[in-house]
Amino acid sequence: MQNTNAQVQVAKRYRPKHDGFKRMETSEIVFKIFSYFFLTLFALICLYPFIYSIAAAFSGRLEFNAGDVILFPVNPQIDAFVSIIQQPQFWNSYCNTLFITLYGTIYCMLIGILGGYALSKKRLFGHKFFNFMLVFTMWFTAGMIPMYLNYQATGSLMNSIGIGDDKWMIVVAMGMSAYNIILLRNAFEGVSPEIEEAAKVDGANEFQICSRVYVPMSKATIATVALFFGISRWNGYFWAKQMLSITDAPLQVYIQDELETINSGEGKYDLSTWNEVYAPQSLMYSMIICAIIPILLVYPFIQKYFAAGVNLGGVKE
Amino acid sequence: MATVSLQHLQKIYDTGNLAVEDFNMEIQDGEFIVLVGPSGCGKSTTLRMIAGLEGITKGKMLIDGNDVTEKASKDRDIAMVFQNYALYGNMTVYQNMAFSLILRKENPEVIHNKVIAAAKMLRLYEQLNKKPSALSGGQRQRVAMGRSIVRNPKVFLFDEPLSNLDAQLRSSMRREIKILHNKLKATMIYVTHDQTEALTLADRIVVMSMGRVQQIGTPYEIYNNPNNMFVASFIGNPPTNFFTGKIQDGCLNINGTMIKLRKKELDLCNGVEEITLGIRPERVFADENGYPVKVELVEHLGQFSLIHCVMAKTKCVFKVKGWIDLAEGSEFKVGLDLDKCFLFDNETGQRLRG
Repeated sequence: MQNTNAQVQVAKRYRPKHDGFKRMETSEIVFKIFSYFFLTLFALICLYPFIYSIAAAFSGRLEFNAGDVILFPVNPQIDAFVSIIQQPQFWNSYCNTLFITLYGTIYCMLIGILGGYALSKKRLFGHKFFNFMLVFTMWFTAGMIPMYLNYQATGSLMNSIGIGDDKWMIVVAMGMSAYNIILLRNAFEGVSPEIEEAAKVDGANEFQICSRVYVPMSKATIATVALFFGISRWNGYFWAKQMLSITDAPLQVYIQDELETINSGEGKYDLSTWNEVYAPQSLMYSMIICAIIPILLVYPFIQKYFAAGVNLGGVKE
Repeated sequence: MATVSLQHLQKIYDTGNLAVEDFNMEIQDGEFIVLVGPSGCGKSTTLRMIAGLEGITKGKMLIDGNDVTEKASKDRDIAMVFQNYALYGNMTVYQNMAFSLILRKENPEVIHNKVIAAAKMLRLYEQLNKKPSALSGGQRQRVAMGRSIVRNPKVFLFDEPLSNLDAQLRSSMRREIKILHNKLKATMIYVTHDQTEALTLADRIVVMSMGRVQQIGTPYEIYNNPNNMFVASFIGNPPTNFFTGKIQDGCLNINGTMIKLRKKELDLCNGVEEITLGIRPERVFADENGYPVKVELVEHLGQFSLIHCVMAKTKCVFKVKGWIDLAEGSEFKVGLDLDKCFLFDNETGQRLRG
């Protein structure tokens, strides 16, 4: 024991006092400094639009028009937010977005989990063929017009079976994502086959093995895929704009329409007659903030799964 | 508990590989059977066929007289302990053990009582609320056993359950499995490549090689009365020494060293020209009138010493009691007790018996 203590003391005495820059080559130090500089710069470039949007949304009209808003709100006001909250069409489109995101994510995960589980099993009849067909759709998409016709046909079909709400068409038509299925398939392939065998011996059927063993054991990937898809539905604009009427349109379509009107400076947004305490652009930024709040609220809860999930699906142990 | 009847079991994979050929065995109620053999001998495939995890190409399997050949795992009333534990990482120890009973929609109170009883038996009571990742290797394997015990199945199957454990833990777990068998009096089928596990645990051992059963017998029979050269070499550590020679003038001529045979042995060798004589390393003794051997290396194991040497131009190893120091290249003489030697037909590898 005494010997060991003496060795520790000697090791401590000769240990370099600063493990950082002193042990590096000059080229390494230069590389590190540049890396930190550019990463910080890039982070600020990414962060600034968020900060500016918040500052602009809460700033007064005169200050905004004078270009005084840079980093913080100037002459703060909340009237722009109050104005948005009082618009019924805003809430209607918000509800539409929630509907499309919630049901769209559930539907996509249902398809993804069942599809990913089946495709992860080599015993599936036509396993290679189905996997190839799935990947093929990622390499070669049909193109804009066939997709439009396909979505229209989906809408007609749903109408014919009595589902008149066009939002369901977006949920169903966009629910199948080859990329998400591949991520989930890889995650399920990472579960040891002996786990499945143990569950079979325990008396579980195929559905119970999937739902009670594979899904909980792959929750990191599932949370990640759900987040991917949820965000893409929340921010979905193009097909919603093409396929849905204004009453069914989600928030992004509503915001875009409003932005166009604000930018045109016509009607109620004519600056010569505009006498609110906030600028029309503050209204625009307020809407954008309202649109990203739910994502910002949900993200921290799922973020812990995010990195692990991407690794879990990508690397097979 | 139950009897298991395996009748002419055969397994051929889709690739055409023959994994198991004509496996026949009647396993009695409460028996502990160990399937032992080198990697790729078909022991795990046989166990998986019994479990219902592999289809049976040909043959029939009965549990308690009922034909289960075509039945799914869950309908065979068997439980299995896997090499890598195969615990559900998302569940606690309690949930892992209760899972099979929950799937069978057992009464929650019954489930609770069974899990608690099994946990106490396996000294896992304090660990019930932990996830498998928080347990040691030995504890995880005990959870896997507990998962089997709560079901009270007809047959317990073990697929190399101790392979992932370190030597010390393996030894203690081996004892625990034996104690468990004594307590439960259950029919157990155990697969291993470790002959120590086979010899210490089994009521009967099945030695397999290249998909075929080489010998079925009690540990005593397998060790002292091997059917062929494979069994003699596979069971026993260090393995049996083999000396190949020809019968000449009532002796076995091994590279010029003449080993005198008695009438009994000569009768056994009747008509067979090339003979292999097998002798276990511990069954030789120092004898001034014996056969000369030249020492190559001595390994000390504490209680025993292993003397690696050359006898009749054939490499061999002898196991002697105590701490023996012999210089490399030194010579001494050993005697062979022919009653304790095995004679094999060198061509077929089969034991020559009277």
